[in-house]
Amino acid sequence: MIRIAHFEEYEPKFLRALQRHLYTSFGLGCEQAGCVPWPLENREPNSPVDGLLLLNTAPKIDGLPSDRTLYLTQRKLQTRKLLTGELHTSGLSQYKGMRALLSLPPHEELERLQKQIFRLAIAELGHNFGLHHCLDPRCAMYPPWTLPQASTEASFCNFCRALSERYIRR
Amino acid sequence: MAPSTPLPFSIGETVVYPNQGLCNVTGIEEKEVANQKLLFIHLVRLNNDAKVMVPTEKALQIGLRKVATHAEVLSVLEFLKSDSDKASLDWKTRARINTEHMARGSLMGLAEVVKALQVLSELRPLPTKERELYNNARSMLVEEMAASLQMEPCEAEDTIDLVLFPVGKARPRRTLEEFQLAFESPMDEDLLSLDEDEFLEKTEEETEEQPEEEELEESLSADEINALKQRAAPQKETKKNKTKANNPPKTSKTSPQKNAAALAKKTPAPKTKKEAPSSASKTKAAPKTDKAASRTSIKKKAL
Ligand SMILES: [Zn+2]
Repeated sequence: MIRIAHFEEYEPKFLRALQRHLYTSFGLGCEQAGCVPWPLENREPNSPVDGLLLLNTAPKIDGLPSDRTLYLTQRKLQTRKLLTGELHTSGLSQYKGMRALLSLPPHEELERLQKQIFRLAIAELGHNFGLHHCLDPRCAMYPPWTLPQASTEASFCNFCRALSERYIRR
Repeated sequence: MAPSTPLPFSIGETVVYPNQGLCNVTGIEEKEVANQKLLFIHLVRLNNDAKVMVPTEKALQIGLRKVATHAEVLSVLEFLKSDSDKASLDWKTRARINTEHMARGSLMGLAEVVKALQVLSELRPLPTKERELYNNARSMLVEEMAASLQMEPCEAEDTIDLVLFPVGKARPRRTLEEFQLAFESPMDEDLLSLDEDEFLEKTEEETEEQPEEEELEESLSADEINALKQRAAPQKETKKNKTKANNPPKTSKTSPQKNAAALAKKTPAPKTKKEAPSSASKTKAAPKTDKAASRTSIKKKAL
């Protein structure tokens, strides 16, 4: 089961569409877990937050131990300084873990950017299930920072779809 | 009985089991097997909690090793950053090299598999077996790098991919010429043989839903292969002679490791068990049955 939790309120229409999309992409039940309290001290809405910290401290959602939770926030995530460069971050995930996090654009942009948001949601949850980045530029698991996002699909390539099915079954 | 060499691992330590991934050492125990006292090392795979018990001497033979150091990770990242290391276009050579890298299980070997297949995929789509290999190598690379640098695996993967997929850049498209330049022989006869054609047909079937990349595959259509085949023979002769005379111990220009071509040429065919005749040499003269047999054995190994 996939659960969608959010730190701010969202249009029910948007959440339902995301729920449907995740259900179709993973072939798993998907439920809304509602709005959850902000876990960090940093409450200043315009300052970017530490994504990993938010991911690891987000409140646990009741459910089965195998449930994955996708947390949504409209707060920006801090740019990560990695050994090979800096990376603007819009999503993070516990690899083979139970939690994924997505930083969403402002409300007024949600509809226009829906495909890109869904693609990122699939990618972060895909990491939860054990998928890595993919070689196919049209696949949701292709690294998101490489292409103009509008040209990409919010779905898996055949290879990643087969892998995700295998990983979900095991 | 004490092991003949001091055991370099301690209980609680995370180690790398080649071709399997990270394991935790959970115990070291002496056991009697066939009237012989052996020291066993107990491991738990971090990936799936599978328990493994291996005689310590065997573990060392297999290549059980400590997690790579920070410096080793940095040199792997440098390697990944360097100009592309071209995979052999001969799938048999490629399968052999990659299988060897995976069996040895060094961090650099894993990086070489990832890099070579990644660059090859920029020429044409990889068949499913190679995508699986790429995925396995990537998975082990990410896992070990995360353990070495003590970071989340998602950070480790992004660290690697910032190099492999530079920010804001579309996927590069490689040409056959680039691969030919990386090799001393531009186009082996064997590469253009039936085996490769079958390989490409398979690839086409498996990647039919990748229209963006189909164009690349078209560049290897039967007609073009024939044309290249005709062109290849004289070029091969000239270039080979030239390179051999001027620069016999040639290795990769950019990689800290040997590039795939150099490795393929340096590794004599009999070194690998059940190896088929090397692409550049005997395939043409070999009887058809041998060729078929070698094909089967390599396919099995590639699995
Ligand atoms: Zn994919």
